Amino acid sequence: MRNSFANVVLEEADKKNLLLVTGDLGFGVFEELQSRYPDNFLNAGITEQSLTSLAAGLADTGWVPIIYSIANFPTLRNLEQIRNDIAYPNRHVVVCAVGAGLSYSSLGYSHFALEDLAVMRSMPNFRILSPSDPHRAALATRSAITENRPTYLRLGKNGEKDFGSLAQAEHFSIREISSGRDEVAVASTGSIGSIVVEAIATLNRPIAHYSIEEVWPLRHEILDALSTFKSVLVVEEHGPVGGLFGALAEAFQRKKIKVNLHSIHADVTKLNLSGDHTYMRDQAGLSPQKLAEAITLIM
Amino acid sequence: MRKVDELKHVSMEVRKKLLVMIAQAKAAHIGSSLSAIEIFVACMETLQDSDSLIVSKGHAAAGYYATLVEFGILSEQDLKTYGTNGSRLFGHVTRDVSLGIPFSTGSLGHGLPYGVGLALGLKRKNRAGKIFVIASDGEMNEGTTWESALLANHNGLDNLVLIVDRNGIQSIGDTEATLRLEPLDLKWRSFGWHVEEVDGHDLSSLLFALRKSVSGKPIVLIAKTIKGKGVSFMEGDNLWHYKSPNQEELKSALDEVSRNK
Repeated sequence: MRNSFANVVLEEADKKNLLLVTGDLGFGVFEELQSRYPDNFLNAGITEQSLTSLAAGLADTGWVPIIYSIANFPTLRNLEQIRNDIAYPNRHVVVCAVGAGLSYSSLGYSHFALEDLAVMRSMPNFRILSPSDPHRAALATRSAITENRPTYLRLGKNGEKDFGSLAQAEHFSIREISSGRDEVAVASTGSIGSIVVEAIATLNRPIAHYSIEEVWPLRHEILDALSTFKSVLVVEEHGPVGGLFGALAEAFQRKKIKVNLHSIHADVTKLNLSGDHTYMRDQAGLSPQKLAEAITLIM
Repeated sequence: MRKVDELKHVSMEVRKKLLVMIAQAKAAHIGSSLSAIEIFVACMETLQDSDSLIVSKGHAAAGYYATLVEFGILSEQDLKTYGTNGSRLFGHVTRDVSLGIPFSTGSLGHGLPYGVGLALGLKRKNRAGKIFVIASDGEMNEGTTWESALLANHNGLDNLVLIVDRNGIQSIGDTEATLRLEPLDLKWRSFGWHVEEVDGHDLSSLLFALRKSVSGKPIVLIAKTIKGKGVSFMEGDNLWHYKSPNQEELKSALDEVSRNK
């Protein structure tokens, strides 16, 4: 996903007045951007807080700034700068984090993004894009730089494979990955969608699976699609509070829509041992086996 | 450009308006506004169309608003709403593009990095314009101040001028007793900035310093000021970071400010 993002930025940098501001991360990712378009790139050093206010200044001088860092660094460390200088004044700044959820697995919880959806959903005016694969990451990046409002772009890492159909869905915000015959659906967000696909494959029956590519604000087409089911299992590589499950629960309750929502999320109390991404997902309860069990239980 | 005598008169009028505003609204931070009046007036007088002024010490909003009245940007009527329900004037500087206020402050340490972004944004587009940021000395405690010091120097932002209202007192006590800043000039110099120390109540020195530019270097003016300047019983007394004057105190303050033309 990281390279899809970087390619779109490179392609659009000059045309769209982009200014990519990195907090000294992205080694090997932005060299071409830097050499071809030096005015459209800034390594601001390890200054997450200041570079966020700086981006607000760039936005006010006609640039479309993209703040880039990894995991939780561009959202939690600089949260007040995001709130005061971007969210409330509704500036068109893109906040991009590579390393959603447990992507940085063995690096420890200093590098886990498991609270970012909760925090960023509470920021006024912000839109949150959480694409499921590299193809969708490119679309999300284009959307973030085109739409004139603050946007949080939550990307996986690098090397993910595209899955499902590449055909353009009717709406960017939700894609149907598989359909089923039951009154049960799975709704996932981000790259964990590929694990859901694996889980469903073990069940020997078609199960509806949607990927929510735009987590916030929840568009009506998402609620319309999911409200046709009796039960929805929400799968997210995020902590228990304030993610996609929380967003859907709030929305359905506000609209008095009756859907039984179930949640599979990262169990943040079980992340005591180090390992690779697959290992960490397993520890957190996000393995294909666990997901398959959960789906079976709901059926 | 108006004569210094005229601007002295403007500063006196600003102080009077400020005192009345704060007393009526029973608001805080009168001392922080009084120390910055000449800085506000000199900056507003210097400001060209392509320039921007960012008041990073957002708690001095009342003094800034009163200055904007003297420069014809806010009306006396607007000022009367300060501290009342439905006013567009918040107790901390709040973005209002129609008033030429580009940026909200109140949480310290935000104005300078934003100013760095403006200055860099202009430079990268080869656009003219100078960015002036007014910060409190308390803000020199903030990490973002020193991150920004690095950023402005590294990027050669010679279109950026920081004015530090060096009144020596922060929220609870003296800056040097709270978290030592001195030698402040050497700190900025070692960060690669051009440093000028000025009397922050002397309009001609301020006006002269604000017009300086040094190729390749951002400028910091360390403006020595007195918290509560102009009202002897408020000067240097941190009680007036919080208290607002009662009617008797207001009358005595207005008398003193009017006498010291």
